[in-house]
Formats: sequence, structure tokens, C-alpha cells
Amino acid sequence: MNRRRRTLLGFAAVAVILGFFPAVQEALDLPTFYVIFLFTTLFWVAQASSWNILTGFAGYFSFGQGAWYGIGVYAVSVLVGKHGWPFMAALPMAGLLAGVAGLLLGMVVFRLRRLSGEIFALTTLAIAFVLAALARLLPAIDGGTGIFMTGTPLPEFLGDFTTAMYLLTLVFSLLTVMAAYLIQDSRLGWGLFAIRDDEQVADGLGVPVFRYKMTALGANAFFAGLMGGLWSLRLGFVTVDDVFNIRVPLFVILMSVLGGMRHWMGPVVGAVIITTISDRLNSAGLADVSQIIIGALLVILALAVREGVYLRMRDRWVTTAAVFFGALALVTLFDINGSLISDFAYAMVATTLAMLVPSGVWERMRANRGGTGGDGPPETLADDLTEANT
Amino acid sequence: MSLLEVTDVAKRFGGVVALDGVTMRVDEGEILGLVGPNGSGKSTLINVLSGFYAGDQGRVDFADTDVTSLPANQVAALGIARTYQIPRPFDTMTPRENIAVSYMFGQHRHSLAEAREAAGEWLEFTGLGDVADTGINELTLHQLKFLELARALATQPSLLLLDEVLAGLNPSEINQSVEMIQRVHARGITLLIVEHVMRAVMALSHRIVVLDQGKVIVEGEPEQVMADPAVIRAYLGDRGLDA
Repeated sequence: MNRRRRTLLGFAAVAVILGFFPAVQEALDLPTFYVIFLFTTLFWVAQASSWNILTGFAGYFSFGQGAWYGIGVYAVSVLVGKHGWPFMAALPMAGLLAGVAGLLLGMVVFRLRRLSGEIFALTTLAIAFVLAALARLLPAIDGGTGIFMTGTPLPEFLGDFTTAMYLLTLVFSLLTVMAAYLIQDSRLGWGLFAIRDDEQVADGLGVPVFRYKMTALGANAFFAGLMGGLWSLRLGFVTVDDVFNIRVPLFVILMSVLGGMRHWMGPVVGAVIITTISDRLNSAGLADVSQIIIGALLVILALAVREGVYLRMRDRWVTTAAVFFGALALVTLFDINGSLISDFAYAMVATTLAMLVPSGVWERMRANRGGTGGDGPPETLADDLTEANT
Repeated sequence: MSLLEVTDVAKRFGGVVALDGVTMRVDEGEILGLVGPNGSGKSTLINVLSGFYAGDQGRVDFADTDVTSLPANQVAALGIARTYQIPRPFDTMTPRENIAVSYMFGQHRHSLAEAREAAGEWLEFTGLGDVADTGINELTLHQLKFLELARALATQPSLLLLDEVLAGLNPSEINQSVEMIQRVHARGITLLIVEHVMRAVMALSHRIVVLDQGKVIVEGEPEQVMADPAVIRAYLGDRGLDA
């Protein structure tokens, strides 16, 4: 079976398992909170994955995630809250409007060679400020009063509100992650990697740099906006300050850097770890310090594991599995606290810390074991290329 | 028959005139040596020909197509490839991946799967098979130069612009490279080589064009060009003739 079919089957399996979670939760009488926690995680998985298509793959550092997300939130809020559109009809508009906005920005900034590097990053940051000001000033959008989204009817076949939110978030985040995977495993993806490494050289080898960068930015904005549109329901009461703040762009950066920006799985892993840990810190009443703890974790990891934890976990998969399940078994056995999410949080922290062992030390440890019983040969991106489509 | 036709091309950077009305041609199937003292405009010319700089005036035709104002990726798609004087590999990729990316784009579109096959061929051709899957930072200068060459070849060009591939190599590496350039030529690729190692230029070139201060001062057969007083003056100054 080839690698692509195997990966797509993996997606299907994850979709089925996660898709049945609300039913399992009901059957086992688990708290509804688990469903909410899961869809919050999935929201961040989608945001980080879409951001990574532009910044991780093409190398254009963007603070624009909040802008695309915000356009999505407001597209749905205005259409549903002010014009009475059905929610499901407004949802695609969220993605489309954000995508178009992304392409418009791209048409300007990608035409001017001067606007690369940090200037590009600052431009994307400025877009969010401009949009926030527009939304605040224009009564047709917000006008400073906010928009109520509570009680918006959802299609009945999706079940109650929480289940419906969960299922829609699941579908959108699967679509986003799958898009990231398909891009990475294609000419487009390799063209983007070439642009990230040296845009001028890529250009000289025939990579259509302008078109590819537009595609990456368009895809980033589209998926961010789509998920933003859905999130307007989660917010309930939509205000400019809640939507256009630094939270979304900052968190997607943290998550992707932690997980790794060179592989589509990096942002997924990073988003899961950070949402889990920050959720636990918040519920432990440490909301104020949670940002500090996560920030410190990020600095350490950015210095010690430059390629991100995901690629290391893949290289050291035996250790990863052993530490993760070992820690999980320990905390469950000794019942350190009652919450399943806390157990996972401890296991994730333990696994992440295990990845801190530097590569050099790791190789020596592996050699001392006689090269056997280790984690098998390191899998590199070259293997992805070698095995692709075979 | 001429493959590349350069007509009255000029390029200025602020007040500095880098190219001052260059007119020259590259014939199909030949190896043309482009020489000249430092700062004579050789690299600028390569940059204009490959689409990195737009010339301020003049015209460039390649295979009967006007490529004067085309962006670099379209020039590459028409069949012009180049190497860089200081190697510029994609440094998050292995040599194999570098070559595969180049093959996927270049003159013809190819899928990821086809690129895998082709990469092996160019790795072998340039003798990089042993380091195909190592990190870029483990390659020697010599290997990086060959990777530049392999990556350019993988675009399947009709015209290859080589910007000082021999600079910084030791004599035995130079011999190896000269032999490699001859094998590239034997595959039917037209070559324009910019080079300072005169021994190699004389051995390889069918024709030589000499640039000085952004102008073509002499062109012709290697021996005849090297004996030309204008060339000696350009390299050594007026006193060179007395010595």
C-alpha cells in the first residue's frame, strides 16, 4: 500500500473515531466538557495548520491569522445576525471572503520585492489593526455595539448545539489538515519549500513563485476564515476586541513552532499539546501564569528542538510511545487527579521533555545500545520523497 | 544558427554603468567563454539573461522568442538554466531533494514520483550518489559546486549559463570539472561559461567573448582573442604590452 493511501486511510480512521466521540460521551455519561475541550483543540489544530501552509511551507512569516479569522467571524455574524441568513449558507462566505482578502493582500505585497521578510510580517499585522478599526467604525459591520449570535439555529440532524459545533469543527479541521498534507505531498508543496529556502533560486529553476505564494496565502486565509465563521457561534457575543486581538496569531505561532513548521503534522501536534496544557493550567486557577509557562516552554523548545517536537517524535517513536503511555498509565494508576484531560496533559509534558535530549546525545545513547533495540533508522523528509507515490 | 541573441543591452545601478550596450550571440551547440576583468559586467549579464534583472535597454532573444522582460521562472521554462558563483543550495533539503525539485519544475512539468527517478540519474552523473541523502552542511565546496551543476541540468535546459564553477577548486578538482563540462556538452547542451581560470576557458571554449567595463571589446577564436592587444590591455593595463 502506498504512503498516500495509507495516510488518507489514517485521516478516515481519525474522522470515524472522533466522529463517534459525542455518542460515546453520552453512552458513558462523561461530562460534556470533554466534547467542548475536543472541539476547542480542533479549532486550534485548524488555525495552526492553515497558518503553517503559508509560513511553514512558503516561509513568509505572517501575523495575519487574526485578520483572516476575524473576517470569517464577522462575515457570519453580519450575515446571520444582521441580515437573517441561515447559518449554513453564511458559513462558506466566511471562507470565501477571507480567501479573497488574502489574495488581494497577496496581489499587492507579492508584486513588490521590497515587501518581503519582516516588512511582510508587519504588513499582515497592520491588516488586522485596519480591519479592527473598520469594524468598530462601520455600523454595517459592528459599529462598536457587538453582535449577538446566541440562539442561532443549526441544522437539526447535527444534534444539540454542542454536538453540532463539535461535528462541524471536526469536519473543517480535517479538511484543513488534509489540505496541508496534500499540499506538502505535491509539486506545489515542494515549490513552496524551494521558495522558503531561497526564493530567487526557486524562481530561476522555473517555480512559478508569484502563483504559488498566492495559492499558499489564499489557502491559509480561506481555512482560517471558514473556521472563524464557525467560531462566531462559540463566541456567542461577537465584539471587535474579542475577535481582532493578538491571541489567535500568537497562539498559532506558538503551536507551530513547538510542533514544527516543516511538516504538516507539526502544527497538529503543537496545537494539541498547547491547548491541553493551557486548559489544565486555566482550570487549576493558573490562568495568569499559564501564558508565562507556555512562553517559557516555547523558548526552551525553540532553542533545543529547532525542527519542532513532531519530527523528533517520529525519529524516536519507540521512546515517544513508551514515555507517553508509561506516564499515562502511571498518573491513571495513582489517580493523581480525577480528570482524564489532566492525565493526558501530564503524559504530553513528559513526552515533550523526553524530546529535549539533544540529537548528539541521542545518537551516542543509540550507539551504546549497539544500534539495536533503538528506534529504527531516522526517517527523513527524503524518505517521504523516495516513497511518495510508490 | 544562433540560439541566444543579445542586442544592445544596458544595465545601470544608480550611477554605475554595469552593462553598456552589449551585443553578442551564442550559437546552438557551442561552448562560449565569457571572460573579462573583475567588475567588467559578466555576472550582471548572466543575471539579465536569466531574468533576474530587467535590462534598462536592449533586447534578448532566445530560440526566436523575445525574453527581454520575462520573469526568471518563465525564462527557465523556455530552457535557460544557470548556476551561482557561490553555491546556493536549498539548505533544508538533501542533495536528492534539491535535484528533484529542480526536475519537477524547469523546462518540463514532472510529478513528485517522476522526480525521484530523475534525481538519481543526475546524482550519478555528477558523482554525488554517496552524499545523496545527507544534509547540505556536510558537503564540501567541490560537492556543492557539482550540486549546483546537477540542479541546473535537472531542469533539462537547452542553454546552460555557468557562473564560475571552477572558482575555489584545486587543480585536480578543476580537471574533473572540465571533464564534466565536456560531458554536459556532449549531451547536446549549449554552454555559456563565465570563468577566471584561463587554462580551462582556453581548453573548453569554441569561441570567446571579452567584456571590459560593460562593453564587448573582442570576440573570436580562443588563441586569436588571447593574443589581441585590447585584451592584454584590459587585463594588465597599458604596461602589459611593454613587458
